Amino acid sequence: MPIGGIIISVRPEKTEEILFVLVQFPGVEVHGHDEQGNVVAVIDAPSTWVMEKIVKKINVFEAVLSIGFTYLNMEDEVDGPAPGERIPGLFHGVELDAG
Amino acid sequence: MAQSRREFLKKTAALSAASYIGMNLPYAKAGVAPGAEEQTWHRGSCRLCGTGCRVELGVKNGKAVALRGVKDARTNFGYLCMKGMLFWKCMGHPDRLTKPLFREKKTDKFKEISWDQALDIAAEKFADAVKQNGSNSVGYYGSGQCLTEETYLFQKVFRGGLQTNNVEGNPRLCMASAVGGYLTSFGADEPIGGYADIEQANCFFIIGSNTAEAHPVLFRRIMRRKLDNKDVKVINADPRVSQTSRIADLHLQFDPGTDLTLLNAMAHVIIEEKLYDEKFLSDYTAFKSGKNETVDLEAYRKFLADYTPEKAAAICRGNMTADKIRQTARWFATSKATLSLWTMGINQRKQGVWANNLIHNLHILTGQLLKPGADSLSLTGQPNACGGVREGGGLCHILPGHRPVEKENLRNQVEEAWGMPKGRIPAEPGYHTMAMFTAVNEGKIKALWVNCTSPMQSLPNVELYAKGMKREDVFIVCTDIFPTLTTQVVNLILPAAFHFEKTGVYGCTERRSQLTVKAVDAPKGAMPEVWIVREWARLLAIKLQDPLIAKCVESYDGLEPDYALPKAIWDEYSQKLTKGRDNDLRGATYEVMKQMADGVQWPAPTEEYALTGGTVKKFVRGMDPMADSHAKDDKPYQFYGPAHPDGKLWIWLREQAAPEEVPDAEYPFYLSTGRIVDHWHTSSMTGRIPELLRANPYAFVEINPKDAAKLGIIPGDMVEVESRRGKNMLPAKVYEGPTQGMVFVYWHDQHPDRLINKVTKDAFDPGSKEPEFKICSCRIKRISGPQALTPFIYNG
Amino acid sequence: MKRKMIVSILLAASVVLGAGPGLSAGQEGKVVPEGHADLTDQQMLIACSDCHQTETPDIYNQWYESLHGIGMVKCYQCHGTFENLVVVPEKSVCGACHSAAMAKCPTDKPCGDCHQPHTFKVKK
Repeated sequence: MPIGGIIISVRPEKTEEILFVLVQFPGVEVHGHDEQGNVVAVIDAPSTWVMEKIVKKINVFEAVLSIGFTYLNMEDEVDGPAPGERIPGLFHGVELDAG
Repeated sequence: MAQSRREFLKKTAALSAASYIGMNLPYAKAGVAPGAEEQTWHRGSCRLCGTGCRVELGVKNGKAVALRGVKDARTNFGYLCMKGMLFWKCMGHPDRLTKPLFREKKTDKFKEISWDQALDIAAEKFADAVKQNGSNSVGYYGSGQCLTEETYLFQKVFRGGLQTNNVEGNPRLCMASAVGGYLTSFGADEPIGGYADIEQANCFFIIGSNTAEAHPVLFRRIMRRKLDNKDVKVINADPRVSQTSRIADLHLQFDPGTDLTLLNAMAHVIIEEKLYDEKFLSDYTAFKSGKNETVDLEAYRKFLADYTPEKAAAICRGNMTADKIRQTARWFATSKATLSLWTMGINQRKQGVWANNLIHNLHILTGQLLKPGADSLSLTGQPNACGGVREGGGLCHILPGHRPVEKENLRNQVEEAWGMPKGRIPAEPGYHTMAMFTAVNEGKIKALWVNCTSPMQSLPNVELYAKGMKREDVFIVCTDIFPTLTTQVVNLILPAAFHFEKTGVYGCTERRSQLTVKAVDAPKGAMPEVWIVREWARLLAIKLQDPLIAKCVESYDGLEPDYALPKAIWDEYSQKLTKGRDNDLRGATYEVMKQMADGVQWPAPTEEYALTGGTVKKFVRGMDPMADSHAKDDKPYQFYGPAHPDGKLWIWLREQAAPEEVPDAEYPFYLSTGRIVDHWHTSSMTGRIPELLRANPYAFVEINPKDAAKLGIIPGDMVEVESRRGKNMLPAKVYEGPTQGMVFVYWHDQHPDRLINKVTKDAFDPGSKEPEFKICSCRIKRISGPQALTPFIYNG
Repeated sequence: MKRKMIVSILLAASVVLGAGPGLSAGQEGKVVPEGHADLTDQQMLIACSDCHQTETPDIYNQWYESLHGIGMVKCYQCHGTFENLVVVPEKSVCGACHSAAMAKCPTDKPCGDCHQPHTFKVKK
């Protein structure tokens, strides 16, 4: 259940429009915005994969100039991999067998 | 609680974003509160080097989730290196061993068995070996990473129970020469001072140590000292320019093995320019020729006559000049306080003890000892090489409490403490490490217990000794937390509890003992070693029908293994076996150590004294209780060390002597090996932590640009490094690190192509028996351009 | 698969924050990292600093000359690696080593407010 903090830069004159759009996304909370078109938002998504989808969808809007992550918490994922799980491409140990 | 935690995190996330654009959010104050009510912090030591950093492990819902430094600890003052910050991630790793695994033959597949079966097999095999081939056919090979309680109990059962001194460990590979140096120069093992000298030193002489990478937190203290005091000088003497050189005022680069000449030339300058401390010499010093004959200053002066800075510079080569040697000697001798630091560059040598002696010589000669900031300080590589192995009886020739095996009265003291008849402990030292693995090769050792170390990677010329370990007539049991290259060649794997999953003491470089109390449960199935040894010894006693084996563990009956058992072992060791010895630890009880942010520096004969932190400087009256209780006269320094009956410090006349193997036409390069900041030893732990693995996923060969240009090697090229013993193929790093004519390889990599100990040489110091990992000759050639490589962590 | 590579998210958000027209001016000293480029498995086995030496030379040089650079506190000790990359480390990450500073520094603002990231000098 990752939580991400993002800054969305939008065309200042379109800020209100985008704010309206953002609240439609499940898991997205707007925490503040300023006159230069910076929007501070938090995404609470069930997985980083979903988070990625949300970011992509927000990025589609023409008024959105950029989206930047400043924070990502994955504390329920930091315990290390679940038992038996492998990180692909990292460990290439051989299987235990004859000598 | 969970909900509020998520709310807290969301606010943190928003604040983090807002901080970028200078936006103020209404809940700024709430947002940066630690929000860690559910988390508890448990104090202990780091286990990934000899510094002895104190840490607190954050535990939530029974699992380790975070780690932070302890700011009141006099070792690290709260600071952590990267390995230290991340090592706890090993705990929950899926590769953890959790079931005893057995195979009759090393060519069979392992089968999971129960603990009862496993202990029975281990006892059966050791008992069989003793019955059929005698006590000398079994051995223990341990580690400077075991807790003191573990090393002590293992050696007790082997020496007192099985009646063999075949008790060794990997500290033989790393600090045996330092032991030899301290004993022969100062009459007592382990440093006189400690880290507290760093903040008072005005000159640092760092030789044969890449402190920045091997002891990063101590390096921080040195760096801080230099930054805060512009007049502080740092001299780094090493054939390789390393990260440590970044803070050096002077880097002395020389051909590997010529440092004995450098050190003697420094002494030459000190004497020639009368920079020595005449009073210190007359009060406290004796001069010894190579044959242990007492000579005098005049003889020393004559001996040094040939080591002029000019001649020395020509022998040392590299960037050395006579002026640099003079400058170094002057800084060393005339600074208010000089602190020397070294590690494996000095110890892992055929002349390791001599090199240690020559550093001590300079300190004795100039009186740069015993006063604040001045010391001759050998940094230890492992967290418990000093405490567990040097003090706890973990080497074949020393019993607990710094007692040489061959001294009958000292053996008797140990026998008495254990309630054993006189003569129970054999009078002969056992096999030292290289002799032990040679005996394995020859089939003389029939049953070997390897604990918490991986000789299949860490022995020099390892392929030679792998042959022995693969023999079907050598039964090997291994206790560890992960599969290693060594578990490949064993019959029985016993899954052990990790640090913070059990309780015990580590003793770091500066005579400091620190307690780590269990904070989390080990994965189900993994057990603390002290429990394993106790249960095994009981079965051994039955199978060998020897009640004295049972007696080794009798007093521990019924104690739970997480705290009560190690505490009972520590109490026995500290109260009975360090009493009256120079490492007197009677005051360092669990109760005392639990109260300390850091720990206790011995000698610490009483609890009251231990609670002050113990002895910061040995041998100084008023600072060291034993200097007072053992005083022979009114002088402020009292050298009561057991190895020097005259109570003096000894300056040794030691000649330059060549390494075992020097470059020739066929193998024209020096090869040296070493550590890198991100990895620990054989990387079985650090290689499983993604942050650390990725930072240095494989070993490189470092080549001087001039040599690389001659051989047409550019960075990233695959290069073959070959010696008379074996070869590696590694990617090249081309930079002004190693001196011309020398290559350097990291030794953490487990991949068969990059396992550098296949190439290193197994010559060893005749005194300390420590192998010469640091110097051999090799040839190199370019094989191809860059290749995609895969990190390799053996994963049974 | 609990651990999901987040590189792709950061790529999706791949923008130069510092250059965004909407950003307030005068954020002196705030080095805002770009979203991270996608990496292959092999590229992930290159130390962060190897690329950043050329990709973000200012940050690299600031770090290299800083106490962290000399003392071998590398990128990942504060920022994590790909699975747990954090652009601005949480205060607790700083606090793991700097517990003394935690006790005496203001508790109501992030470390970076006063200590210049990558040089760690106190802002004047």
